[in-house]
Amino acid sequence: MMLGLFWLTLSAGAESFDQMTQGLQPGLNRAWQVHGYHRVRTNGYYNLDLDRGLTTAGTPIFPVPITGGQWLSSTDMRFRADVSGVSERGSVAVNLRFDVLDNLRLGSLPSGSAIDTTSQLSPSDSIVVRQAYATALTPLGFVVAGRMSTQWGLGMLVNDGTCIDCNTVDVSDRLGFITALAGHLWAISYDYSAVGTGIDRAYNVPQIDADPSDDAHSLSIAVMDVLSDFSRERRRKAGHHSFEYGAYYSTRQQINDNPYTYLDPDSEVSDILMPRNYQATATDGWVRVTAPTWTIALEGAYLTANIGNVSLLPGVSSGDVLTSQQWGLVLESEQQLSETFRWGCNAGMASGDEAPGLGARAQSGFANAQAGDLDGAQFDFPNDNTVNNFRFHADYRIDRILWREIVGTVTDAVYLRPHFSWQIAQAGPGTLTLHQALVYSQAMQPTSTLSGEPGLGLEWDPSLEYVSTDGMGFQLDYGLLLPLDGLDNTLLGIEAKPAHLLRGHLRYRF
Amino acid sequence: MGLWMILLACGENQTPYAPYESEASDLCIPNLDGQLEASEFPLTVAGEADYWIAEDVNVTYRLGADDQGTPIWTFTEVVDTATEQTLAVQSIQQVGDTWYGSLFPSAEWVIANDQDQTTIGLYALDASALWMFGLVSPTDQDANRIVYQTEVPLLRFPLQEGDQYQSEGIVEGGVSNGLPFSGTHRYTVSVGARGELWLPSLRFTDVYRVDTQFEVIPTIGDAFWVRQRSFYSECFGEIVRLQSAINESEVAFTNVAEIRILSVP
Repeated sequence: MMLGLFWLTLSAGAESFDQMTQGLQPGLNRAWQVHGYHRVRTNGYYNLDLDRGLTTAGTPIFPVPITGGQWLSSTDMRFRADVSGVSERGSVAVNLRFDVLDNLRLGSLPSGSAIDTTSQLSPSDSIVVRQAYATALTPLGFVVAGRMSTQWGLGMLVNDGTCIDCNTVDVSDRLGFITALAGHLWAISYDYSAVGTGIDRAYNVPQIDADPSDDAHSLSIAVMDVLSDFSRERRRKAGHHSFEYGAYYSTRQQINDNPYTYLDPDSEVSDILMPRNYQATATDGWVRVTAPTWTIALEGAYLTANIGNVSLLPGVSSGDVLTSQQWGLVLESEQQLSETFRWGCNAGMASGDEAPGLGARAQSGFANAQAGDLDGAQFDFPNDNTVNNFRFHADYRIDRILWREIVGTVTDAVYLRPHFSWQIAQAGPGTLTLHQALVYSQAMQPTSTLSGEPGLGLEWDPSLEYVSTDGMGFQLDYGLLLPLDGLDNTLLGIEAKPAHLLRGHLRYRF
Repeated sequence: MGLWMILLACGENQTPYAPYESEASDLCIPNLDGQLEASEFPLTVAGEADYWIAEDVNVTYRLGADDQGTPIWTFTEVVDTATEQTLAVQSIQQVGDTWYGSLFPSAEWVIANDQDQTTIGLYALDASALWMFGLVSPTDQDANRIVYQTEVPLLRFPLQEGDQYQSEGIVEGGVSNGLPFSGTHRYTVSVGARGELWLPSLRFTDVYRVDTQFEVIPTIGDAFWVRQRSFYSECFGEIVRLQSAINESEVAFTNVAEIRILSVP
């Protein structure tokens, strides 16, 4: 609902605020920088349907092979390029991000039949512009404008999807201002979240809004005290502690709505507005302490929303107001035991809703879930007019199978995730590292699970990763999910069985 | 340990193949253009419709009018006294072989009049009208067997305020309530108003009030009639139906023999 509404690159990491402004270097000549990555991932899924039969809605919880069996597979790729240009005096920077063949399933577009194909076709959206924004340094602060991605804190709620294994690409059309005051960075942004139907005009004059009342705009205010990754690491090596934190408040409103713009974009009907009376707020705070041998970070978020009319159909309005109160909390920690060993424990909670189904992928027009369904709308007028399950951002990952693949994202859950990594060897220009994590998950609301029991699963996620300083890298992942009774099919009396996942990554950074 | 865990899920998949996502149905979106067209009449998908049904009640449902004089009808309290029933809507193919199928070769839809399917009506829908072919008792052909010689347009499309029309269905050698019947069924339809309708959880704008006087004129014997007042909305069809007692004199009757209100999910 309110996910993805806030502020661009104002986060704790170098991927965010620093990255946005690092091109601004007064005194340099005009310059262009290009960097990015190319990735190829191959995935093998074994029994991710858990051999538990179908849900009440008659669907499997994960795709099953058409001809039977347990294995499914896919291989995909993405080429991403970030281009930055700096003005001659170094006080203005423009930034572009392109994705080429984004998440394309390799071999999915043969030219002709499988027997005689000799080539692959290009999808219509082979090259997609993800970001196009500019930053200017003024005596008062930075002024940013355009389409840009969003990152905040640990990425639990607002995540720019910049990580090399990320899938989502959330962007916002935004005007923003950032300034330094009293030892903090202050930011304010105004997002054009949805402006409804536009009216075409002659001579390529840009469209104008057909009506201001159907606009959904977001206003956000943030304050933070952050370090770049480089600064934080330098302080750590020097034996200093670093204390970083940030908080934001954001609000979004919409008075009327034109549902044709998203239910039937091709429709010629453009002048029907219906009352929506939507108002939402998001409050988020995070803190991170970095010591010479350990780091700990915490982020919490609280969202509220009221929708005066939940009906998507013109001519029909709901008499009751839908309300929402959601909260989420994550903890990340890591301790360096030696030059090569690190361990830590992460944990998190996401508020739940009593309605059946987890509500991880709930979207407009989603049918209500019944007991025994994995997902579905979390309200059911007139008996249930609340939606209280908090959804983590889909690219804030805690595991490989249960939440990432089967459910889609963490919601209505509490989890514990001890982890450790061992730097096995320096091999050539790179480093070989073994990562391991164990994830225990259970539902906050037992009524949301497939069986009505709270326990969801215990997952083991080891990885072997090689990262070279010249940009090449590979990683081999394995995942084993041991399902608990919350995933059983009590209607059919079937116990959920373990699932396995294999994933290989090839990465090329430039 | 690892091998044991890996082997746990070996074997044939115990989950039968089924589409991962439920197939999305074509969503009907009201265009609120002042007329109800056949494509906005929800008789395109077989299934079930839930209704709140009450019998022999007094219903006062005219709340007033808004600032523009648009009438407002409210049924927010009637539901308290009603019971929920599920009425089946099936295509003629779904019904399969029946004793009455050959009597209605052009019928496309079978709609139950009651939860137990004591009587059913046979219909077809095209761009010009909702056509009725007759009605039968599916489990007892000696109880009801009314076959119109020519199908009757119950609703003409596009339906709009001010429409008035009359149509007749001629019946020869039929059976009604266990007794032989020949005669005429006359339907006099009037779309009297367009307004707003309130249910306990939902409010509809652009609702059409359709009054139908259904006269039964036997070849031998006295004629009688029943009035029906229905409220139609784009994409939802008939939201509320009021049916009078026999020979009701008032068009705007409030003593209702049966009221059914669509239970919108």
